[in-house]
Amino acid sequence: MFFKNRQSLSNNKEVDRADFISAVQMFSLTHSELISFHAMLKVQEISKRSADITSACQEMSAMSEEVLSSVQQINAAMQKVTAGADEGVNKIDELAKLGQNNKTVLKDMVGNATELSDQVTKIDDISQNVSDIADQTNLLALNAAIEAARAGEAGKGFNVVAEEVRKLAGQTKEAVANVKQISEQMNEKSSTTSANISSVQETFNQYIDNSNTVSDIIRETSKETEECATMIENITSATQQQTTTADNLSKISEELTENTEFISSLLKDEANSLVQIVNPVLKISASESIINVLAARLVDHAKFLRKTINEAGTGVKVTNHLECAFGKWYETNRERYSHLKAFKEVDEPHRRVHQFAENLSQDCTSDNVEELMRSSSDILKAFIKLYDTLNTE
Amino acid sequence: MTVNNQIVVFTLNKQQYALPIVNVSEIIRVMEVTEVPNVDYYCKGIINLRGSVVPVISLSLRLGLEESELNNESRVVVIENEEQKLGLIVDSVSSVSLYVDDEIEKPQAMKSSGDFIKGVIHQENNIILFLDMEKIIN
Repeated sequence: MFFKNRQSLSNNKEVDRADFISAVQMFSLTHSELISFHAMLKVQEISKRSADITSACQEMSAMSEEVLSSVQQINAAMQKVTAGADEGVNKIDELAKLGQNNKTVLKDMVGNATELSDQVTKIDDISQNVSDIADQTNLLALNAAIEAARAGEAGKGFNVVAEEVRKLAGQTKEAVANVKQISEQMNEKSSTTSANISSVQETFNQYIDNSNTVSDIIRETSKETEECATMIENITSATQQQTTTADNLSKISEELTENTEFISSLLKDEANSLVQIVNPVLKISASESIINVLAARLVDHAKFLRKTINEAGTGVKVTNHLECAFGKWYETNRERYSHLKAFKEVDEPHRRVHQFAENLSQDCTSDNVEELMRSSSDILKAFIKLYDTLNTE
Repeated sequence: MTVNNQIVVFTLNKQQYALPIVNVSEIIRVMEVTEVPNVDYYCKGIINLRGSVVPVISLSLRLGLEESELNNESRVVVIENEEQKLGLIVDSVSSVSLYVDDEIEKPQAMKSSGDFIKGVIHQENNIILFLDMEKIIN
């Protein structure tokens, strides 16, 4: 009986051990599923980022197109400005040439006016001479008349001649006075003309100066426009480069999206298929021993975790740590095993597993998965410790 | 009308005066006058007229008029009396002209100042004062 009992006891222990190892393996598989799930979430995040990059690239590309078309408009406008400036410079150069001709003509005119004035002065000299001669003639005629009077009757005819000469002298003087008046008028006119021409010349010089200044300004503008054109070319090529870069980046991020989708499905599929293959092999007896119960509760939690993964983010209400089978068993046996350190230490990770499962159900983030992962490895460790403790008792 | 009615007309202070042509030797331009000391105020000096010395007086001053400045028109009327020549400086010589006896009037109201004036020749709008040569010489 004792032996049989011993044998049965040792036999029972073997069964317990097998059960527990199976449970641990099942839990491990689930844990690796959890890891895959975490990796998948991470990959999905990358995928999402790369989609963001793609759309940013497309925006950038569109913006570049806009910039390019604006630049082309500017370029067209610039070409018009340049053409206008060239025409302006040509016109001003023509004006300058005409102006140079006019300058020469004006100079000639000034010379002519001066010469005219000199000639009028010469006419005055000659008139003065004629006037002097007329005076002299008049005096001679007077004296001739006196001589004729002295000659008495014989000088009478001579007196008439003398009188005629005197009249001629008077007419000459009158004529000279006329000439003098006309020459004075001429002098006045030529002075006025001279002054007018000088004034025109001054105005004209100013005009030429101004047109030269305008020409310089236009040339300067033209140069600056050319610089602008060069800058625009630079902008154009930079924009084109940007477009190309954005296109490349877009392509790369699309490829990245494809890859991440592939990896994501790979992770999901592989984890699933492994579970499909291994799980049917793992079986737990129905010995109802304490270890068997522990193994069964571990398997419960593996199932619970798988369910959590499947329902992540759906917001489904998750069983809490007091409602699950292990929770109920734990509460019932609290008194009995309170002396065991390992028993006490199971409570905290168990509580966490349920808490983070709830979190993951509410919000499917990689952070929540990570927390759950950590809790799941903690609970596994705690179960193994509890098994060891119960086994050696 | 006889030849003796010919006169030489000249101006002093814009007034026309006349001398009988027979008293006039010639008319010359004003030439350089050599001043002579201690003579009457109206005597200007002497000139050298073709080798002979002729005294010159300012007729204006002699007649008690204001003396005009010499200019281009100024002339010396050389008169001759008994082989003796005298130059009279006048403002200008206008003409040699004729007058008829009807045209000459004796001034009556100008006894005191009329010493030098033998009469007044009235021609159209012109009044010509006819000088007494003898009075001028003395």
